[in-house]
Amino acid sequence: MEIEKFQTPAALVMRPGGDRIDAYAAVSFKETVCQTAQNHDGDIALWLDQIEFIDSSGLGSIVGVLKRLRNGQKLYLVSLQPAVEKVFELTHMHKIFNIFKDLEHMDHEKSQVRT
Amino acid sequence: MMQQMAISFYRSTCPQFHLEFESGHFNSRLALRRLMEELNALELCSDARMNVELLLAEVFNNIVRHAYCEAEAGPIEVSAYQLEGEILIRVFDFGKELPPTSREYISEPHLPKMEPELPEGGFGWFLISQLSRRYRYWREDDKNCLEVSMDLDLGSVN
Repeated sequence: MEIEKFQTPAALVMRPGGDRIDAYAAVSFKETVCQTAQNHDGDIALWLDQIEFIDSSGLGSIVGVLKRLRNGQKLYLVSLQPAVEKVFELTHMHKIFNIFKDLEHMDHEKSQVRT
Repeated sequence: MMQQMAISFYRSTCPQFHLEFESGHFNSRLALRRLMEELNALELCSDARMNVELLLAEVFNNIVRHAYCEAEAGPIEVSAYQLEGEILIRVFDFGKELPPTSREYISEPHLPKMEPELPEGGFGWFLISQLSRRYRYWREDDKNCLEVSMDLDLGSVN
């Protein structure tokens, strides 16, 4: 899975390509994101605007990323599509994650926190 | 009673779609894509489509992981029948039988515990239970059989 990366004021953004994080993609997705997070000092954002579908394996891989963050590092989820949002809500995982509507909202809110 | 109704329906009606494929996560992805294309004919609302896609993905994942234990490939057969306001989906595989503890669990699945650490799995049957109107599992000779009924809203296309 291709994952585009770039820095915003709030976080290192990782934007997975393809349209799904399913059981076939979940393991490599988690490994790639965990490795990047381990080698990065700041917070991480998963920009999921292109992901139209995840199953419980995809959800598990994102939870796995959250559990493997470095001390003090934060994970943000951005631009959840309806089918993705639904999985988070059904499993109550939306209560666990910091979720933002889009990158602008994430950067804005984080800049407010810092000032 | 439910079994009799289902069997009589099966005899009298052709499936809306039927697909057989070899187990495996990549094959499941391809099969799911194909099935969702077939479902276009039903003109489901977007919420019903989401539910069907997620439910089928969870069912296929369970079969690949637990019935065929990831490595061992075997056939998966899926059929769907459109009824009034619902869709009936039957999935068969020829892998390992669901053990008694799992049979007990699937009668009333629950979310995995969030503590002492967040769960990375164990959501599958809970999602199936949340997305379906009813479901039942049974073993028939060397075949695992799962029948799921799901609510549909065929009236509105989003």
